Amino acid sequence: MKKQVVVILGLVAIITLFAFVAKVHFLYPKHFPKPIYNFNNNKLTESKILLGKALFYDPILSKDGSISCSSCHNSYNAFAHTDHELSHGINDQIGFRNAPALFNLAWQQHFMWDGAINHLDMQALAPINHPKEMGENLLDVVIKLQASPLYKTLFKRAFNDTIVTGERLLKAMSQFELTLISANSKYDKVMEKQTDFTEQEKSGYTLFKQHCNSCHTEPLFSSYGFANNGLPVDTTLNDYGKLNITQKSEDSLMFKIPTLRNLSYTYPYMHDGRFKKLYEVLQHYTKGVKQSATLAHQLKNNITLSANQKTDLLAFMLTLNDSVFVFNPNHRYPHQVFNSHQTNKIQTNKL
Amino acid sequence: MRFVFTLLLLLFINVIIVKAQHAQISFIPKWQNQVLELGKYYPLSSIDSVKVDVVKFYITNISFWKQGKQVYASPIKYHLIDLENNTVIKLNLPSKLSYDTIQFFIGTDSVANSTGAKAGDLDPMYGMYWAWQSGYINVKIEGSSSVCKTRKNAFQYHLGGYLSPNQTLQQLAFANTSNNINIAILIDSILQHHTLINTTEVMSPSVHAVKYMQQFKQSFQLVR
Repeated sequence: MKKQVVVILGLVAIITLFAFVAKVHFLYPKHFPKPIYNFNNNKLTESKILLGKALFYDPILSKDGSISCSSCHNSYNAFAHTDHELSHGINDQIGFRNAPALFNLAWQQHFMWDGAINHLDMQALAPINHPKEMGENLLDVVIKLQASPLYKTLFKRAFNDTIVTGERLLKAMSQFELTLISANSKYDKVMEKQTDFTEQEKSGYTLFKQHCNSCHTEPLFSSYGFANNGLPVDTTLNDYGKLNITQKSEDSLMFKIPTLRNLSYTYPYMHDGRFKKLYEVLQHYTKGVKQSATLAHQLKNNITLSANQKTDLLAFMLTLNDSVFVFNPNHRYPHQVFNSHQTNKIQTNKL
Repeated sequence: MRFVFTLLLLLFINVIIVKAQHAQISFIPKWQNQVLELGKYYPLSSIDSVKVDVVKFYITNISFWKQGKQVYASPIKYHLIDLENNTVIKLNLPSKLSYDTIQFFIGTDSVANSTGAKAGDLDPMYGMYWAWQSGYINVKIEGSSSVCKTRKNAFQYHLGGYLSPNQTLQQLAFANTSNNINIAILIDSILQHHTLINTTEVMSPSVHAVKYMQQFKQSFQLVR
C-alpha cells in the first residue's frame, strides 16, 4: 500500500515537473497592453512551438511542395516579403497583395489586409487554400503529415500521440507565430528608461504623436483597426479592401492599419506595395491623399510637414526598428529539425 | 487494494450504464417520398433531371424540453452530418428523463465561428470551414442538373454566415417523446426546378445564404 502511494506520488511529481519545464510563459514588456489571444485555449509549450516552427518553414504545406510560409514571410525582413510589391505562390503565380510583416500577433484580432480572418488560429487556412499561394487544402496537408516520420516524431512530442489533426496543426502554427514578439527597438529601450532619444528623434516623436498616433497607436504602432488612408485605387488590381468581404459601402477602401515597427526591414509599403521608400509614404500623407466618402477623418485636411520635420519624423520611425527581433536565431529556419530528419536521427536534446 | 479499486471501478461503470438511456436521431434524405440516394439522377421535370452528390450539415446544441423548460442539454455540442457516411447522432440521456420536445440548431453558433481552431467535428480539415474568410459552412449541398448552365452543369450551395445581418443559424423544435427520432429531409423541396435555373452557386454569407438556410430548415420533418 505504502509502496503504491509512493509510486503514484512520484509519478505525479514527474508529470508536474515535466509540465512545469515544458510550459512556456508568454513574456512581453510592461509598456505593452494585455494580449488579445486567449492562451488558455492553446497553452504554449516548447514542443508545440517547435512543431509550429517546422510547419512554418516546411513547403509540405503547399500543393507542389515549393512554397512555405517563410517564402513570403522571411525572418530577416521581420517576416515580410521585401522587394516584392505583390507576393507570389506556386507555379510562379503573382498574388494581389503585399505580404504583411508578422510579429506581435497576440495583440491582433483581425488578420489579412481586408480583415477576412477573425482569429490567428484560422489565418493559415487562407494561404494554404489560396490557388495563387499554396493551392492546397487542409485535409491533404494532414494526410501528408501523417505519412511523414519527422512529423510523427514532432506530433508525438507535442501531443503525446502521433495523431495529426487540422486543429493541432493550426494551433501549433499559432504557437510559433505568437513567439514572434518585436519589443526590443530603441523606442522600447527609451520606454524602459534604458536610453534616451536624440533631440531629432524627440522632435520626430512629438510630430508622430500629433499626426500619426491615432491610427498607428503606440506602443504597438497600430490600433490594428481599419482605415481608408486616401490611396488612389490601383486600377490594375481594383482592390477595395474590407468591402470585398463585407459588401458594405462603408467598408470601401478600408484596409488593416499596419504597424510602423521594423519599417527598414519591411519595404515596400501599403497593401499593394506601391511605395518603396518611406519618403514616398510621407509624400502621400502630405500631398497625395485622395478624398472619398470613407476617408479617415484625420486625413480630411492635408498634413503639413516641412522638410526638416519630415526628416525628424523619419528619424523617430527608425527608432522602431528592432534588430534583436529580426536577427533572433530562435526564429530562423530550424536546420537541426530538418537535418536530423534527413539522417533519420532526431537528436532529442537539440530539438 | 487492487481488488477494492477494481470493485469501485466496476460499480462506477455499472452506475453509468444503469443510469444512461440511449437515444438516436437519424436523418433520412427524401426525394418525392423515396429515400434519396447520392449520385443518382432524379426527374426534375418531364425533360430535366438532378443528381445530388454532397449533403453535409451541422446539427448543434441538442436539448430536451418538458412543458416549456429545458430538462437536458447534450454535452457534445457539434455534430457534422454527412449523408454519404454519417447520418445518425447517438446520445446518452440521463435515466428516467422525460421530455415532450427536442430542440436543436442547424448550423454553428458564433462562439464556434470566432474563437479559433476547434477539434472533433468542427476540425477545419473536414472542409466545412471557409479558408478565404473566417466562418463555418453550415450546410453544403452540391450536385448537378441539366438545367444548370454551368461548367459540368454543377450547382454548389455553401451556406454559412454568423454575423449580422446574414446569420444563418436555424433553430428547430419537434414535439416528441420517443428516443428513436427519425427526421426526413425533403431535398426536393429545396432543389426545385426554378431554384436551380436561377441560382447555381451560393458561396458566401449573404441574403441568399439566409434564404436557402431557411428553406433547408423547412425541409426537415419528423417521421412519426
